[in-house]
Amino acid sequence: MSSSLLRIQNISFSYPDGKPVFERIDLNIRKGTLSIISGESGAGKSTFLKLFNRFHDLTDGKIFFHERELRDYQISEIRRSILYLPQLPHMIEGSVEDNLFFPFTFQSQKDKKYSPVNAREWLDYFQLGVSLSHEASKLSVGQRQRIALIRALLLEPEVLLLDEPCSSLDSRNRRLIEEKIESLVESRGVTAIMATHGDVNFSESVCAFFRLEDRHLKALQRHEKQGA
Amino acid sequence: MQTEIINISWLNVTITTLLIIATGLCSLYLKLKLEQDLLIGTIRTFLQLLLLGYVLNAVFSLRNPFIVFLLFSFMIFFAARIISGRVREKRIPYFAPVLASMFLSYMIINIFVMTVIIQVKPWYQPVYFIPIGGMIIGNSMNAIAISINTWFDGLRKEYDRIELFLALGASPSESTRENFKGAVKSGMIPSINALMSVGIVSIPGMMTGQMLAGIDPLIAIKYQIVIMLLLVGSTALSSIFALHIVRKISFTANYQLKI
Repeated sequence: MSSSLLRIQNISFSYPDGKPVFERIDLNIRKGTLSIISGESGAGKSTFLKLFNRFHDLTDGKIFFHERELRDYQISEIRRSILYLPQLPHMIEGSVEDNLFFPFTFQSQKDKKYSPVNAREWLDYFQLGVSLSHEASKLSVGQRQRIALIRALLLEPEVLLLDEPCSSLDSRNRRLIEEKIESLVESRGVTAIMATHGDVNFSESVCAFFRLEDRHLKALQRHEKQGA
Repeated sequence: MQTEIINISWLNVTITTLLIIATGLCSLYLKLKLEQDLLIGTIRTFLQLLLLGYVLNAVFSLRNPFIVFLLFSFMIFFAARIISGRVREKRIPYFAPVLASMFLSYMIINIFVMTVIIQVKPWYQPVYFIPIGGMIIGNSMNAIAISINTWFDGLRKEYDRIELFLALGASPSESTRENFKGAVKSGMIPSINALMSVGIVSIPGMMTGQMLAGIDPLIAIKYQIVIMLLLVGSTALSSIFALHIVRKISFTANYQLKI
């Protein structure tokens, strides 16, 4: 399994009060794939994603990134490479550009260069129809979600952890975001793990579907994917 | 201008309790239910100050640096206990680090004032060291409590934003820069306001005390100016110091927010 970008080996996680969230999970994630993790609310999908950027620490088992154990990396290296996008797209005060630029001021991202040209290309790609100087507070929820995605993509992480990016969107915006995510994976080689509790419409050629249920992760077969 | 100090007799001191009795009667009449607190408060005032008087008398006459140090440490410890009672966050163990930061900053400032400004010899002379130290502790204790509460309130209120910043690669200090500034400022505002109003709105307690003891007001104001500036400095230093430590322990080594 040397081709895995992320290799999850027999992992378990419990909350500090001892309540187990999931147990003995194995999973391999290859570069340029989209892994969809479905499950009911409270199944632990967000917690599962947050293990990869070390917002949570494993209770047991190991996660390998580039075949090196995750906990052997410096935390700043992990956060640069594996980027978690929260469910609600938080915007800071200021313009769209302020929102895209501020992560580049962080010490761990200092070697990356912000490019307004690149930012404009992403705005077009996501069909935002707003300029970089547009006031962020005036964006709709759907626009904010896309800006949050662009903010992450500008940092060029190796893995994107998408925590229900479509949960608060209407069907039109949801479809748009899903199409863009699929296209990013298919044509630009982005690797993403996405948590969802609703229906998704991704093609099987790029996606692997899993369900988090009863503390275990189950790979879904073709007939089980509908309503994942 | 030196006037003779009038020593109030214990009988006259006791007569002032008539004011408390009058207040108690008002409380009964208006059903304020303050009688018990008034009674306990008055008894405690008598006992605590009597005890303080005897302790200070003993410490002032001994002039032993170890005893001065011990009394000062005791005062700081109780101030830290009061802070921990006022701070609403109970999960993060900040008591010991805050106590250490208070101890260090108060010691530095008090020794600086004793040796450089007042130039007391020896520097630990208790008649100066303890009262001035007490004023420093009393004032900045409030500032630290306000700062720490503002800090934790900010973390809870801005949890999502801070988590986003951390996810995008920020360090704990980068993700809470504004929270830190806001917390320091909120603690500093009362002492800066005091700088603005001193001498106009009120005659400060220490200056009043010195004048009652027969000191020339022009000497008393110099002490008061030193004290006012000292209080601002010590408030800033101790709350920044304490908040630095509190910020550090609010996150794990893996940049996870503990709240």
